Amino acid sequence: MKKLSGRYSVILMLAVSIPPLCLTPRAGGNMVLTMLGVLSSILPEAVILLIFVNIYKHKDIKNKIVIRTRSLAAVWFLGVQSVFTVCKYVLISENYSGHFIGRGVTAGLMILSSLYIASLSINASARTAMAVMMISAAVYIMMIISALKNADMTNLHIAADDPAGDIAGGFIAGGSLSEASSLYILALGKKADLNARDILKYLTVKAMIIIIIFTSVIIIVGENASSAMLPVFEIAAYSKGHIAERYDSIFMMILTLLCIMKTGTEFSAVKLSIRELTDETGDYN
Amino acid sequence: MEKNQNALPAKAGETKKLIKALAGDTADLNITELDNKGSSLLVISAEGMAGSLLINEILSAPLSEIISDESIKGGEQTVSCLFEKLLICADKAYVTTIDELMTRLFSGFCIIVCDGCSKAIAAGTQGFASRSVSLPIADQSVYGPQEGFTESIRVNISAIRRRMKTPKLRFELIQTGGLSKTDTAICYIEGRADRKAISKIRREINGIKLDTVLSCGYIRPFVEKGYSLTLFSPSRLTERPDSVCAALNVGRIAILTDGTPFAIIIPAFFSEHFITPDDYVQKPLYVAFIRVLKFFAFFLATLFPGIYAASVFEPEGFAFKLLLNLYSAEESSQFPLGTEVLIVTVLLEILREAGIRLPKAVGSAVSIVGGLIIGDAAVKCGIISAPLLILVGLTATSSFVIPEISAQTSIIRFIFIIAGSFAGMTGLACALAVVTANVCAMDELSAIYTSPIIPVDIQRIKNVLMRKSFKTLQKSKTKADDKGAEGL
Repeated sequence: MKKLSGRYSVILMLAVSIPPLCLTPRAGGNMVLTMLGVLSSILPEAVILLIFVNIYKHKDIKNKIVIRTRSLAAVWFLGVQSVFTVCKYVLISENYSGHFIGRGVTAGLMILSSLYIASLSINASARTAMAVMMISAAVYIMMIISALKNADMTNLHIAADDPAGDIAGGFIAGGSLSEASSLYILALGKKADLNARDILKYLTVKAMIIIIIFTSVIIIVGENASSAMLPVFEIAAYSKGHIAERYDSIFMMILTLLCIMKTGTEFSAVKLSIRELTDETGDYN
Repeated sequence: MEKNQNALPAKAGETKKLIKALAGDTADLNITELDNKGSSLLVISAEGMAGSLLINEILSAPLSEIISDESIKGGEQTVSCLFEKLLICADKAYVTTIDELMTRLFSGFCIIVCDGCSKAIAAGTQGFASRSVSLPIADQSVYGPQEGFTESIRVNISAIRRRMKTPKLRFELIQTGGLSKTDTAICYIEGRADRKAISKIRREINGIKLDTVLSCGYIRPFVEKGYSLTLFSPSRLTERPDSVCAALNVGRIAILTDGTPFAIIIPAFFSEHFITPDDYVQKPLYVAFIRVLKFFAFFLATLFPGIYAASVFEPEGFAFKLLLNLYSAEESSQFPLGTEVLIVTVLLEILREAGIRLPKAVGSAVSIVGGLIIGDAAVKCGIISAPLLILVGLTATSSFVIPEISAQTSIIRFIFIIAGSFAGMTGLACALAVVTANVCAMDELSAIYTSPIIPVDIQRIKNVLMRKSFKTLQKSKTKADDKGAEGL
């Protein structure tokens, strides 16, 4: 059985982490507080992961506790994935079309794309995740550089009408989306030996991404915040872009791409969990 | 077929009858019957395949000597004396079955059959006409070697051997095709190529059950089994012996097929399409610049028309002035933007296809008719808008930068145009995800096609954008599973 390298696992985890983070600024509210909420969502995630690591230590597939825990996890993932997929695709397809046929077509396209990714091997899915990450990052960087001229720091707003609501919104957006699914795949398929260091690495990178993406997303998309002043953006606000002025469409493209990837990975998790529960030999590949 | 494999009869007359029966009295069969002290001695050759001058040069003296020597009696003695003492020929072999005799005969060998002996001699007298070595047409280089492969596998083998004098270079000859019996050579460097990969390729080629193998295209689907639905191919074709040598050096395997001036190199990597032999002549800085340019051109050739088609759903993305210009240009067109882009791209592909196979003199006329007359008229008629001509010109020029993957570029471009015009940026994202997954799924012979970009290999990724220095090349000892990206 081929081993999935640590590099792959981290990339896979990152790929599935971004969509909820991108979604959060669109929810509006105070960005600083929302970010605080998202960051605190790391805590329960860490607990989930630690439990997984401990379950993984029980390699005896016939162990009743292991079977029950994994069955529960599989059912939980199936349920969460189904609900989450519908919500996510409705959000994206609503942006695309006001008519139900248009929404249906878009959602159908996205589900088909995700199913195609899920039909590949776990290594191919991990490579695709990495490629999608690279493409998204490249487009994102280009978008930020290009948008810098149009940036308006009115987006950075410190005061909040509903601080508790903003924190809760961020917490739900960042944490409720089953981030552990990728690690679950790895643990199930015995692809990587998960340990506390892996979890720490994952959490650190996720925190960094939250900070980087949040800041850039606020600059580009956060229409809901009101005025705040920073000299750099004040200067930049005088100039206008020559080719593009608004980046919603590009942002939507990145978001769709990442959502497809995330859903594809989740489908893989479901596939693997079902296979593990039905395969008595314990060889899931 | 079973009779074909029977042992050779001891009587020359019977052998002659058998050959004539099997060949059906074909016009290109030359059988000369000589009298060897009362018994008959046959000299058989295929016209056009065996060189008559070579036959005279190699066979006339030994045959005269053996016929006139009274001390040599009986078929067995005649054949062994001829083979061991008199026949000075580098490529000679005993033939014991009719099947082997027929294959050798129609491969250009001259067959000597002697009465009273169930063994024949096959002497290498191949002398068929073939194209001389000339410029590689599909794989051109400005500063690199100007020598390409020809249709003759022997010439191609020698072209590689001339550049690689190491005794570790191996050529394994396999005959493919039930009727054509085409020579196919697996070429590799012992110790550098992966043994498992070699045996897999050998097994696949031996398993080919086709009647005819007329070019390397017949072999390719078998060696890259399981990748029929992928956009890219885990192997690549080259017309250059120096490219084959560079690939062999980094542990790849080359497959040569008789009758084709192209070699298949397996495994291949995505990043290799952006590397040319000229890179090793130019300054590293310039090479880095050109490679970045090529990646950008690939992006333009594949994604740009799709993005433009998708922009109809998100017009507010454009800067206001640019949007006004595009809007006024689009107003004159009768079709929706997506349809327009499709029409223009189809037109481009038709013109390209027409230009490829036409004689050079007519080919330039096609570009004039297509580019100037049809393009200009289509804009004036309102079928397409003027900005689209810029788009198609840019796309076409960009796709010519990487001619090796122009077919794939065209397919990907169409996928993106259809997805973009159908569902905007969301459709484009779906298509991008599927295409990316399709490319990333390829890992033939344990070599990941997207390597070293995905998965990232810090040591080797710099070679994708920059040329490896010769200092580094001196140190490198690569294997196929090292996934080297510097094989040209």
